[in-house]
Amino acid sequence: MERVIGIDLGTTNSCVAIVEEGVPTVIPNRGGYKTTPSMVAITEAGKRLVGHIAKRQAITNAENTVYSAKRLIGRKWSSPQVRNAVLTASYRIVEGPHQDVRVQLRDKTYSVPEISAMILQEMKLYAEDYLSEPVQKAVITVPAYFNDNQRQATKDAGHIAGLDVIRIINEPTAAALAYGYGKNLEKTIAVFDLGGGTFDISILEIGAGGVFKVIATAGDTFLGGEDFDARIIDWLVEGFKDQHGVDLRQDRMALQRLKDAAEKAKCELSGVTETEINLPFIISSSRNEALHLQRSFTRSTLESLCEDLIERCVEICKQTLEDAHLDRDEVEDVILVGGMTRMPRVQSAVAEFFGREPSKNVHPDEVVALGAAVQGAALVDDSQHMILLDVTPHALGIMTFGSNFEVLIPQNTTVPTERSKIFTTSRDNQTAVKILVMQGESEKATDNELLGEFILTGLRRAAKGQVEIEVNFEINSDGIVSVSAKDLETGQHQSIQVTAASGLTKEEVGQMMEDAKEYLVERRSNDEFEGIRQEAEKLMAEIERMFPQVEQIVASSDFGRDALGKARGIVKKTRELIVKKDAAAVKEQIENLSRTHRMFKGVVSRPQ
Amino acid sequence: MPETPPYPRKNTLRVGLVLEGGDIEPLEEAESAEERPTRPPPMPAPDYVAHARGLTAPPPSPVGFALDYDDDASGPVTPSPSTLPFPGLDDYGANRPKSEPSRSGFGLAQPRPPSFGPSGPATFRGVEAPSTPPPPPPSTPWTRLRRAEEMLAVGDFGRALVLAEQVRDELPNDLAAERCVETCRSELRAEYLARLGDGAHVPRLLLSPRDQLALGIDSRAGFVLACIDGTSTVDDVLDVCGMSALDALRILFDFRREGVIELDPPRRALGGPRR
Repeated sequence: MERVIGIDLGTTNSCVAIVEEGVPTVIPNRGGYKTTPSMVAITEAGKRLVGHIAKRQAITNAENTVYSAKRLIGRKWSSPQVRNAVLTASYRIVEGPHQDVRVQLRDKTYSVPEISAMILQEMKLYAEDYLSEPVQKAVITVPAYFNDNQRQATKDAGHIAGLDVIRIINEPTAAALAYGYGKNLEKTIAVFDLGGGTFDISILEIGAGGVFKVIATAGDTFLGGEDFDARIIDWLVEGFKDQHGVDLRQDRMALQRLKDAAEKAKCELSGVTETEINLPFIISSSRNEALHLQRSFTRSTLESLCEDLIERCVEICKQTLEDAHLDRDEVEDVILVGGMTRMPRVQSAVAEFFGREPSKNVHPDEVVALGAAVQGAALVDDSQHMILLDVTPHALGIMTFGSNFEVLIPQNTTVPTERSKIFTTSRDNQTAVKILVMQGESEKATDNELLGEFILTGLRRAAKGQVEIEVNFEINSDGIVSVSAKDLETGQHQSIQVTAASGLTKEEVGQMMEDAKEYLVERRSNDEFEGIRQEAEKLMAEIERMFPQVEQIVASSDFGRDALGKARGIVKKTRELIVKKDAAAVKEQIENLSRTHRMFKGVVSRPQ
Repeated sequence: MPETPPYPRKNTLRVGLVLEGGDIEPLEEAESAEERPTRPPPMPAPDYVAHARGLTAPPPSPVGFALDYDDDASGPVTPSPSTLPFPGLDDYGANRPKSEPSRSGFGLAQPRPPSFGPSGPATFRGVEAPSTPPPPPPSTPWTRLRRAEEMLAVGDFGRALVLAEQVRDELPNDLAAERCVETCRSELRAEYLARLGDGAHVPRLLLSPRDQLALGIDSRAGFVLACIDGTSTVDDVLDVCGMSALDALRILFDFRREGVIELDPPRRALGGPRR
């Protein structure tokens, strides 16, 4: 059976998982970590960095490091979120050819799906390394509030990365899937997701037969672990300024170290009540003396620095329950998602608000990816009886007189589906109507997203309200929305097919896929070289270890001196070829090294 | 099965449709390129960057640093000790006045020669001090460039770089000078890398945090030191250190020479193939 990986493509961290022999398992990255920072950078030398390594140089190479690409994916250049990002991001965001968003890194412009594809490609490689087989199929998670364009852009990112994205699922649904896996639950749960960059609260109903329904979701896309880190950095910077009169913010290297130390200290304080922050040689004084930062940091200080951030999360939870007309005691369990939920004060705030201890049965960093893997396995395994339903993430409808939004297909309707409504003209002698197809939850049409529009002409001249027009919405199993309008009197008909637009054309996606493949070939050849190099290094180390002994035994003979000279030459040449990264030549040298190694071994093992 | 469309009974739903062109707020236009907020100009490189690269005159200092810079060859250009990793690393110190006592930040009584491999002291022309005093600097940029190219040809990359950078600063559009600088840098990088094993080797700290505090290093070297975590390779350190590869390699080279770090052979990644 074909393997399907589940990928939690997060704003700040990503995670990949798979179901192995019925057990959902997270796949570690090459550094052994189970999550990978969703960061991409291009170095001065043009090298691509993804994950931890990109994060470690994010401040010193700020202009060429992309973070939080998820906040931009599938959005139009004119959207308020993009306008905000243009002002605040350290990297350069530019307008794409289709009113989409592009990112400028060094001398090249990348689309946002391309950036996300680099992260997905990395996750795919981890999975392939782990399984020792190619992986094609994937389930990728997105926030419940993502619209069709954002979902399509995420799919495009998967395609560019060489993945066949068989399903896009909501993050809280994935968390609930992992939570309810194999338990046959029927309950209402809250998913409290406080990640690195965003906060989401979702209320879900887990129904009989494995039906998972998001009944309310809300959040703050600019509230997460990074805000907590920023508070710690501010505290450290101010303290250092008071002590030494030096502003660490003026030095990027100092700031990078502060950022890393702040995050580390924050994580440590989830397990202990006090930690030390030591950053020697963090900056040089005006008298060129190296200064050290050394401070003790307690859990209570952290909590007092971040209390308002936690309060903001609680307020959003409160509002969400109110909007969903739910009482706190109707929530039967709370799942914690995201690394920040490890903070004891966050856990106690959640417990205080919901009046119950949150579930400890799921791993906050891994649960979303594990849920995606569970769904992936269910999609390819007919023996699993889980019913997995695709639902519309947002309500679909049209704009009517007075800029009102008339819903035809409500949010969370299972697809495929078809709905119709009859409308009338709104003015006397109206001969044409414009159908504006929209998506969103606001009653005010202008607050929702315009998906497409068309005009139905040739209507009979009549008083307002006399001419009847039937508007029909249909969503097929591929998520393609077809909208038609029909004059019921004349049979005059007009229609439109709305497909989600990621901001990229098919040709562009195709070209980006080719580019990604080329990168992969280069990357694999580097990996291959690494294997060859390691083999050569091992042999050389052995040869060098035996050298003094062999020299002592054979140096007295001309033959021995000649052989030793040759051996030195082979080692020297191999080292030169390794520096030149000439894989083929190093591979050839391995034969010579092996011969030398055998000869040396024979000499030292011969009885004297 | 698709759900049955819930057709409303006639005359039960009467919602006015929007007239073409009426009641429709035009979508907000994207700002023109002129109106878009401009990005702040990039931060100018701090002075110490220029010093480390030998491009600007440094503050006066009695102690020099000359891994691959030589004041005899480079004229007035002398890297600032305060901006370089080891003010006291002067065992190759052509810049240091002979009367000046050694000021090793490690408290080493005698400078140690580098010891790489079993074949004894290395002959690293880009790094070693010359055995004979070099000739006085030629007077015109072109003659200096020719001199730099000659040094490059014989593998004296360090001094060739200093001369070539001087010429490039004087003749910023001169392709030959630019090429010479790039070649020197590339050769020096390769030599430093070769000395450190290669980019896949893993630097490991040999000093305890307390002993590290006694090192006489500046914040740039301190940053490189902080990048060394026992798992990151030399290549990783170069990628994350936020300075030119050549500067970072020089710092790593000094760290190794002074016994601050050791370089372990590359190891297989933890998340590598399972089967």
